Amino acid sequence: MKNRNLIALLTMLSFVSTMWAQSFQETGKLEWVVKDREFSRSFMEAYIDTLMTIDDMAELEVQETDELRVIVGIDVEGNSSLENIYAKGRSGVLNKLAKAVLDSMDAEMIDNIQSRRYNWDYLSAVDVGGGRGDVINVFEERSNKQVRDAFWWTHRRVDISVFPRIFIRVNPNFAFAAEFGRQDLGFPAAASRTLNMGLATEVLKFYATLPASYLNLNSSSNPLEGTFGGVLKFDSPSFGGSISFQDMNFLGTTDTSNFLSPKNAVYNPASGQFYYSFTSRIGSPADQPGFVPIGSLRLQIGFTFMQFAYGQVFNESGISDGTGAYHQLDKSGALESMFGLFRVEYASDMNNRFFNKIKMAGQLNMGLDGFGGFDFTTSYTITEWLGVNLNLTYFWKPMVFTYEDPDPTLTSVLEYEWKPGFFIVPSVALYF
Amino acid sequence: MMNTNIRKAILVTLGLIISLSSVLAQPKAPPMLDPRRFDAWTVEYEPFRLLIENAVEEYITLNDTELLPIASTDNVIAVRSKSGQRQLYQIRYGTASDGYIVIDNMEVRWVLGSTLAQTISEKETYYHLDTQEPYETKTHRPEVEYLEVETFWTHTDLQIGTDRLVYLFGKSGGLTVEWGSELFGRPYGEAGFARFGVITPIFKLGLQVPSPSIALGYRAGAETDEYLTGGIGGFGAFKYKVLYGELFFQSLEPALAEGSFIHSYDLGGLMNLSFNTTLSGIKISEKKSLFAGAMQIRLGAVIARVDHSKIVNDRVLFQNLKRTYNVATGDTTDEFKNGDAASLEESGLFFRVDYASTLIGKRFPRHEATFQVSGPSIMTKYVYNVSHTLGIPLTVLLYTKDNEWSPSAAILVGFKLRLDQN
Repeated sequence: MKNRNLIALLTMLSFVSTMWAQSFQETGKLEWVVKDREFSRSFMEAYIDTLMTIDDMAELEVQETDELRVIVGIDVEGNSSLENIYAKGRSGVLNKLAKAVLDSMDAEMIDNIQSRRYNWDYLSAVDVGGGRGDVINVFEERSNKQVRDAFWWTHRRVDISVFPRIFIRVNPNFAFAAEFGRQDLGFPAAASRTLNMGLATEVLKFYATLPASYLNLNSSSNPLEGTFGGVLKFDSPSFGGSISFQDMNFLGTTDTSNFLSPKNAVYNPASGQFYYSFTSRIGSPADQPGFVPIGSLRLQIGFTFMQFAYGQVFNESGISDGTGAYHQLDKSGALESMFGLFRVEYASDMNNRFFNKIKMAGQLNMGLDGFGGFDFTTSYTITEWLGVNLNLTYFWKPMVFTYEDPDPTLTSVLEYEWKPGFFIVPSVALYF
Repeated sequence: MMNTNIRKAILVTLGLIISLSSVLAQPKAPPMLDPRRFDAWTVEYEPFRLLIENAVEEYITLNDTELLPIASTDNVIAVRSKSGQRQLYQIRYGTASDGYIVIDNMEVRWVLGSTLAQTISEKETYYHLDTQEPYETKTHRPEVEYLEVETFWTHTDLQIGTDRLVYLFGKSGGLTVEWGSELFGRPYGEAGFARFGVITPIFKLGLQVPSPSIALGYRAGAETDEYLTGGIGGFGAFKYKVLYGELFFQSLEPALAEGSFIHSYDLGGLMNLSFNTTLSGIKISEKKSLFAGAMQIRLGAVIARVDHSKIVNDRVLFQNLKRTYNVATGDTTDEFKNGDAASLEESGLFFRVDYASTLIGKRFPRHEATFQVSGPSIMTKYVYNVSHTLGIPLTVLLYTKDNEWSPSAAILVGFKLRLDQN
């Protein structure tokens, strides 16, 4: 008896829980607009004919030329059924087609409109309507492609542009690329005396690093020295990063004479970076009030490991006359080498001549030990082939290196305070 | 003497492989689509991919169709006509192993709707990767795809092995842990380092840290107890179409190193080009062919520098980073002096052949084999896959340079587990 009660209780519980679960299961609706004018016209003709057959005195609120909007319900088992059809006239008024008439129409015609085997469109797309940029945004998604092209890659065949950088695409996938300095690390063009050149694709860059220098309008600043090395960079819409090394041992003893300051040379032996990124829409269209033109804003948040090595150039006799081998005397510790990364990139939407008129990027590198800098780049594209750029970089605190006097007869501990300072780099951009 | 013999052996093996590949390589079937007339790319931008997935599901709901829903592991390929209005011509989805479902011509617009079809056709406005898939032959492709994917990335949700662990958190990203570096000729504990990072089908990036020096087998020669010591650093690698590149650097952390005289990788780089071919094999019965499957050949160069440090009282007393260093023949002493330079002995030619036998159930090959020359390291590896889940690798290493941080040879064993979420 007890068992029977228990079974009854379990059965009841299972029934109630099933009903409860079913009541919370979602049903769906699909809504679309019929874009096939021929199909739409034939459907409306059939509808009007059926309506006249049922009631020849009926007042006609719809026309054969009306645009049709279909709503189909989806039940919990995934079966579809026609819910409603609306006809939209030239006045913009929506008229619901009578269910009784639809039920009386040829079943094949109803099946056809429900099957969506014709040219159609999402309702949201039609309601938003409009231009090229809106096509993407009717789905409430923002492709980051434009802003990535503006800073990481390029949609042009030849792009001699922002950083300054040079991209020559040999085919749609590959480009030969050259970039002065390491803007991704917060040391662009003039702030890092390197030229990174090699192969670039939409997802990665594989560069050889060479010592080089670039124009800087502020002569009192102290850039990073450069030597030979390698860089590997990655970027995808959601995350990216880089890894690099440079080594003074690859330089000959005469190469060091090109150092800006052979007696006190700081360089970056190794770096690693990782960031997460996402892109949002920002700004307002040209016909609406607003300061920022409509475009894409990409944010990058991550961290950078960037080691700094300090050394001096002296010859075998220990004389610092600007010639000889580079001798490393100190390097930044783990804490001094860690930086928080925050980068913002903005590109206005491509106009009808396929260029982004305004591009801007700001990057903050916050060292855990207080050292850090801010980098800002802006670019204004005048016409399809010409633009102007300005890059500003400022480091707010010096980095201090401690080392034993390289003179073997002395035992004193010395300090060198490296102040990178302020960098101003204007450039011209050419596109082909 | 030994080096001359090894050199001869390599040359003979190379000759054999090249002639075998030309004999056994299958003639390519005509292309499925003409690349001069069509552009093809994979839709990598996740929101757009989801919109296509939704549209296909809706179409299946509304119609009695043979189309299947798009699986999360499928590639979604869009094809656009190069002529006329540059409209979307096809959508293909699936994998090379399971084949592709094709939605084309008018049906593309029926499935996607006007705006979505137009949006997908404008590949210049979103993240995509160009693909050769619709242009290539269908025959025997699964083995090639297996080698292409498994040598860098994986299709398995969780892969745990003695060489690497990969955990995928989606179709396009995952976490990776690697022990040693097979491509640098030092698998498992032979490299002295382990790697932790993120991985995508195209690149991986992360941190490099010291790892325990454990021999997963037998080491032969005079320096059987000597290992390279790992340091703290970073690594990055990519595989983009036929090109592979890798860089790493590390610096010695005295607190994590054992002993006074330390040999440690300082930096390394690798670049190679790959070539895939299918093998029809030698027919031994009606249904079986010997050596049928696919082969991948890679050729390039490897550069790796080993520096020598003396550690006193947990501090690096000196570290030698100059480039021109050679250990005298027969010199096996641990001691070196300040001024001795780092070694580039680990650098040289990179050559690798990977073979995978015919896939069982379109999922895994029973046999996998590798022959690799990476600088002074010659590696032969065989993997017997007991099932899709379990594989047993056996590695034989031979080092052609006598130095203080390498054994003469080693035989190493491991395991590989592949687990998929249900």
